[in-house]
Amino acid sequence: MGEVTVIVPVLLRPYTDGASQLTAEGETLGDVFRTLCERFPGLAARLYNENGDFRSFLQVFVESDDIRTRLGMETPVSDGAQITILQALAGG
Amino acid sequence: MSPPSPETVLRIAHVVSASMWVGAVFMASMIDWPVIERINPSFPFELIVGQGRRVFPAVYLAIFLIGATGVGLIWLSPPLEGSALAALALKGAAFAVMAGITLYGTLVSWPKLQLATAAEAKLLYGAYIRRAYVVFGCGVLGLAVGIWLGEA
Repeated sequence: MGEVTVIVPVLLRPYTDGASQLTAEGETLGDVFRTLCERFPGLAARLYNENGDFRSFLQVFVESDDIRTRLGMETPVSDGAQITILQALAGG
Repeated sequence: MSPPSPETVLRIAHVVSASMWVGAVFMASMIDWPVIERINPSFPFELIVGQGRRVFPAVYLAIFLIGATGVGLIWLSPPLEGSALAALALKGAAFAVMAGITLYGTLVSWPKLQLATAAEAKLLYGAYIRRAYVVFGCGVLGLAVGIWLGEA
């Protein structure tokens, strides 16, 4: 089980006690986010929809790989990997 | 029939761009949202964010084209009369309000919306739609003044 770093976007920091980076352990991306949501209870409502699924329009990268091109939340994470959450540019 | 002059080409691009922007705002705020709101007890994130992502490049392309063609039209036929200058100032002000509200939506409203709970999203999107009415009103004003300015 590897320890990874998650880069937290500015708008999520109120739910991570202001932290801009978090570390967590897990074998898959889903494990990592579950661990973080247990540690920061306010985070789950921001990352998951009402059905408990990860919000599909949030883009998550493991290193430089978009998880939609990998295995989604089942994407394995290696020790020391960096995970980035990006929001879509939208609206007008 | 002679080919269109550069001024005509710029004018067509200017009006089409403005129509695309105003039409997108009209469709999203006055046609789509009232129906979506009525049939969805919760906030339809996938639909709204999907729509927002699709509208983003079109609207910013329209803003760029309106600005660039507007500058080109002023350069080709500068308004000389007081009334034409006043009309141009009115169009410029309407454009500035529209672009400002759009930029605020992209930089502030949409990032918040993507991380909001359903209840928060309804409030955020409601405020966004009210600002869209202002964008629509300014767009119609700009188009009307532009048509008058083109004939003057």
